[in-house]
Amino acid sequence: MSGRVRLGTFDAESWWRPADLAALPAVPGGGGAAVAGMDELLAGFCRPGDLLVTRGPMDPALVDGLAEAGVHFGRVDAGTPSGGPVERRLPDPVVAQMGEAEGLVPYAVLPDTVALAERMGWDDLPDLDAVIAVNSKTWSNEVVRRLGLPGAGRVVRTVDDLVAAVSEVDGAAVVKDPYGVSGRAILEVGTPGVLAAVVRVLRKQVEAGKRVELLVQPKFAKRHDFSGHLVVDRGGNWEWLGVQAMTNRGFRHLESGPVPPGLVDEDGYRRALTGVVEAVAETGYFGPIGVDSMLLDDGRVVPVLEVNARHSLGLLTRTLDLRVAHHGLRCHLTQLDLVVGPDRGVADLVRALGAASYRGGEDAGVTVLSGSALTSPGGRVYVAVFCRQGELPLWRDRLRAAVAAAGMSTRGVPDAA
Amino acid sequence: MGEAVEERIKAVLAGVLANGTEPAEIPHDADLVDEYGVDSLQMISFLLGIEDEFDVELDYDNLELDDLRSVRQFGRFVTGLVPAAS
Repeated sequence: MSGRVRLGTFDAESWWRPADLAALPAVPGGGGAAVAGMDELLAGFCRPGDLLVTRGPMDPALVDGLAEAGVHFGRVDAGTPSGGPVERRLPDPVVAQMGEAEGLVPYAVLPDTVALAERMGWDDLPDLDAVIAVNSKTWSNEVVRRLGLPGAGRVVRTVDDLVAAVSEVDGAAVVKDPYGVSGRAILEVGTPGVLAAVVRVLRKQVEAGKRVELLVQPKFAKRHDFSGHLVVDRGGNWEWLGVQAMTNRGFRHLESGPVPPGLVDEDGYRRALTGVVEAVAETGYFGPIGVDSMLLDDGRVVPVLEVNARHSLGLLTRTLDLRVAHHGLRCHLTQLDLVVGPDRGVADLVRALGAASYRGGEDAGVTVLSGSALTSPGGRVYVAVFCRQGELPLWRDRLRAAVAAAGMSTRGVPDAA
Repeated sequence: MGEAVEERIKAVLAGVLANGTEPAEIPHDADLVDEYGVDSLQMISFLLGIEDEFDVELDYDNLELDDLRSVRQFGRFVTGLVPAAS
């Protein structure tokens, strides 16, 4: 094999998070199954010769659809192990197969990823302490403060400080866990009653020996979320990969794609990130970086909301975008939360797309990227829409029609199917 | 209790959805997850809003959210916490 192994654990932040940190109130459970299945998305990064190791088996319909789109890779699965990162639970035959590869490109570098690389004799990972530091919102906020960039928040380390910091914010405040996974551990605190509930939950944990570390920011008047993507090498040099627009619902990713023309001054934004990237490189981190940013209603840019020193959905979208750019197409990555009837699965959706599937080349189309575990009563699927500028609404309609034809509907969109 | 509690719950939910949905448009038995797409983040904001609105304390570690999928179910739940809410 001439390629590298790609695998990963998408709730990376929860494995970096110190165990002694008090947690913001959260809904029990969360999207564990949905997150576990996201490792199929790493196929989008693969080149021919790469070996994709997924937690569970990939549906052949997905693999065939990716091949039609020109995405080729070897694959093996870990047999759907439960409990912990996939890196921890790889069966011996899978490890043996991995041994034929040239190295490892994980979604994110976790303690288990480092252990796996050591076991395999690979030395292509950055220092774990640097990874953990850089991914903390406390760290990125400190860099923002030091560089004098707009949008700095306040890190609080006691419940009383939290109350004071929230009270000082003009309007609603946003409280963030330093290692909050997208869509979790971020709360808008807009009323004294909500603050009181958060304080009650935190105090209970402090009494049990936990410590508080949270970032408080004003809730910005947002026009658009976007992210900047780059790769830092071992020598601290970096390659700019581009900007992606993100459509979030609340604080959770729903869609990413090309930035609308004129929305962001990309050169100015890249310059604003220079000091941040230098700070990242000084820690010893190397690898992919995504910086989450925001364009405000008044036209100002908050260049750094957080630094993601790992792969990201924005980077995936940009990678797929670069695959089709020479055909005049752009990539839009969309998340679908589907209601699924009995005996239905992702293969039904792939089939329903039919002529709307992307088959490589200049003709636009849709590729389903994940969802092998999709089953009744529902779950999450990611799709890539490859189309020309201005055609996205048309392709959204075709996608909705395919969802309906597959006997599914989209959560929160009653008339979608 | 009944409707007064449910109307207050709908008002909290509409604020969390923040998509132009009016409280009166939300049916009592609509599934919050399947029909309104309420995700984990919106759910926690909704629950915090319920605490605020009704001055109750929720035990987040032991909530059975599978039994709390509609406004009507939430209405019964809140009334059980604070009978005076009626």
